[in-house]
Amino acid sequence: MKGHSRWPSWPAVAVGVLIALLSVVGCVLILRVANEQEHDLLVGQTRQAAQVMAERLASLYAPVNAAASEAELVAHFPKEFHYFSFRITSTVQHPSMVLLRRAGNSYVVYGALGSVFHIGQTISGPIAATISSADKGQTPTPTAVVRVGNGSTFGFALGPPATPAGIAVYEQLSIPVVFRPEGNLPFTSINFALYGSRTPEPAHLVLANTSALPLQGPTVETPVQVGTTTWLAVGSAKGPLTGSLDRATGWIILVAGLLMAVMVAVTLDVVMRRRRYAEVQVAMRTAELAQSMSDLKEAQATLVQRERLAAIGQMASVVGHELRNPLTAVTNALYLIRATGGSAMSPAVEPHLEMAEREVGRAATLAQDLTDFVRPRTPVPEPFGLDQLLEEVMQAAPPPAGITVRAHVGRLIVVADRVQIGELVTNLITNAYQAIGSSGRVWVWAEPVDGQVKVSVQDDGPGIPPESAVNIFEPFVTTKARGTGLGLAIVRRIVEEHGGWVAVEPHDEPGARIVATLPGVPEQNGPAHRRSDEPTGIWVGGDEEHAMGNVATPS
Amino acid sequence: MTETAGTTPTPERITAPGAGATPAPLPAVLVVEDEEGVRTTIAAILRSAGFVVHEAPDGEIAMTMLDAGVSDVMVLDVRMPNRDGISVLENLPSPPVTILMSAQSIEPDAYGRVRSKVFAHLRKPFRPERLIETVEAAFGGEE
Repeated sequence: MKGHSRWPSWPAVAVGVLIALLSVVGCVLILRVANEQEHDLLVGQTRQAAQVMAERLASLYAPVNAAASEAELVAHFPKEFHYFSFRITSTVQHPSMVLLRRAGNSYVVYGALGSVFHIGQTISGPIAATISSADKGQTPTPTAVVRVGNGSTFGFALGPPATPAGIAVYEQLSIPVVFRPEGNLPFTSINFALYGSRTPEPAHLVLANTSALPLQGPTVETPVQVGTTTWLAVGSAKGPLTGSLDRATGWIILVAGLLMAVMVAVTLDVVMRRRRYAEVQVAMRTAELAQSMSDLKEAQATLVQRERLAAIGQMASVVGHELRNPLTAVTNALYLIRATGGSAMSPAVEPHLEMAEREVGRAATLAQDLTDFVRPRTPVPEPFGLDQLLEEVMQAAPPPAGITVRAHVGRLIVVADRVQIGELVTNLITNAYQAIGSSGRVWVWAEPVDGQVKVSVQDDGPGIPPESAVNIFEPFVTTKARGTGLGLAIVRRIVEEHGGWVAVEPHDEPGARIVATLPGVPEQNGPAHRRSDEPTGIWVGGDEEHAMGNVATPS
Repeated sequence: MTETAGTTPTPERITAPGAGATPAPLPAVLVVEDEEGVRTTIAAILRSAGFVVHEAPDGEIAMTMLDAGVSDVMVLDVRMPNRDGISVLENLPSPPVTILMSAQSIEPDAYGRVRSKVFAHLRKPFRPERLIETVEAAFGGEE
């Protein structure tokens, strides 16, 4: 099939691309929703973790308040601090709690729990500054966090008005940085880190449930209120919080969409190809149908024409034959009138008798034409010289008075039925005589064309109107006032039986030119057979002998 | 026209050969033709040329007349009712010198069967001069 392309058709590609784009958009939208959901969950869980952591820290520094309420009493009885601290130690592991008396910019320990500080010890520096800054209210103030190895150390201080003037309470804690969650929900699903500062600075890390710090991936920060200060909690998801299926949905849609795009495009392409194929098939069948319709019409026309010719032929045959007996009788009767009546006849009868004889002759010619037209005869080809044939034809059918025939046929050889070609040339020449009428000229010439011999006969009569040029070769069609209308029909039949053609050739000169092709011999093509060769002969009507005859023929 | 140009007849030829000489049996011609107009004019032409002419309108009558030995030369039409010209020739053991006339072309097979018995064949219409020449030639055994 012509025009077949390996490439898929553009509508199929367009639909495929559209579906692919839709699936990409759907994937992006669903992933965004999933991400938002993930983020919301992370925020919620991080906040929850921060809340839990804030509560734990509050429970860590709750004993500071308890210690503060005992501070005045202990100031009078320092050794009783152990007793009071019973409640403290029961709630806090490894506490290091001290009671301090202010001494300028530093503090002196006057009551102590734990092993970190001892009574009489002076605390100064940043811890002292924190403790002094805590002299504000009832809530303990956390100190800066100090990292020591894998642990972090920080404290809580409380001063007046929660304590008597000049007295402060300080609790210091050391905890491992990495803690193991005990199955509590937020800490098992997220990575969590707590910083004792407003920014996630590694130096201020209080604790975390992972050692991989800082936290990777999307993180959520949330403030944690620890005493009077705000610390920072940071969370990141350990795994998908929304569930793996939710996150995969987008990708599933993308893959499914792309697959569907390819399938739809391929299906559509196949359908369109089939449709195109069907259309081409339909077009081909239609063309074939139209062709056979036209063939049928042509055949019908040919058949009608053939039947018409057959009917004409039959009629011509009957008429041609049936005319012969009456013609014989009339011919004989005219002979008897002339032979027996002879001298007794009035001279006035003579022209009438002559006219009767002439017309009977014409009728006999018509009968002959009619018979010739239908007589089926297979050509018996033999090679002969066209010039010799022309000599014979001109002897049998010399030009009437007033007409001159000039011939240039060279020495061309024709391979055809000699009798039929003689008939053909006779008909062409007598046709020219009849076309001319009283006086004029006829030219006959021949030239070799592709192994054939092209014979042209031209007269200077009135010519053939263009509208008659085609059907002039039909039987009983004539443009002349006189004539049977069979001469050229016989010419055509003979030419066609020899595989040639005959036509009226248009030209600029006055008169008609009829051209017929006859089978020749191939090797006679060449410049030696041009029209400019010496004339074959010139025949002048009314002469007993033609003017030049064979004299002009080169031997 | 099937014949070629011939010489024009001279008036002398119209008189019978041997007329005025010792009485001799005149040459007799049998014209067998169903078309009356053709038959009578042919007979008249031949009589004017000096022959004795018998006429037969069909093949059967011709056979009867020939049995009686009326003629030496026969001018015979091909297509006739009551036995056509071909049948006449086929059924005569020794026919006279025969000149066949036809308006139609003769079927080649039929013509082939009687060809040896045909002296000449004239296609209608023919020129009367040609008829006279042919009959004369038939009597002379020429051609």
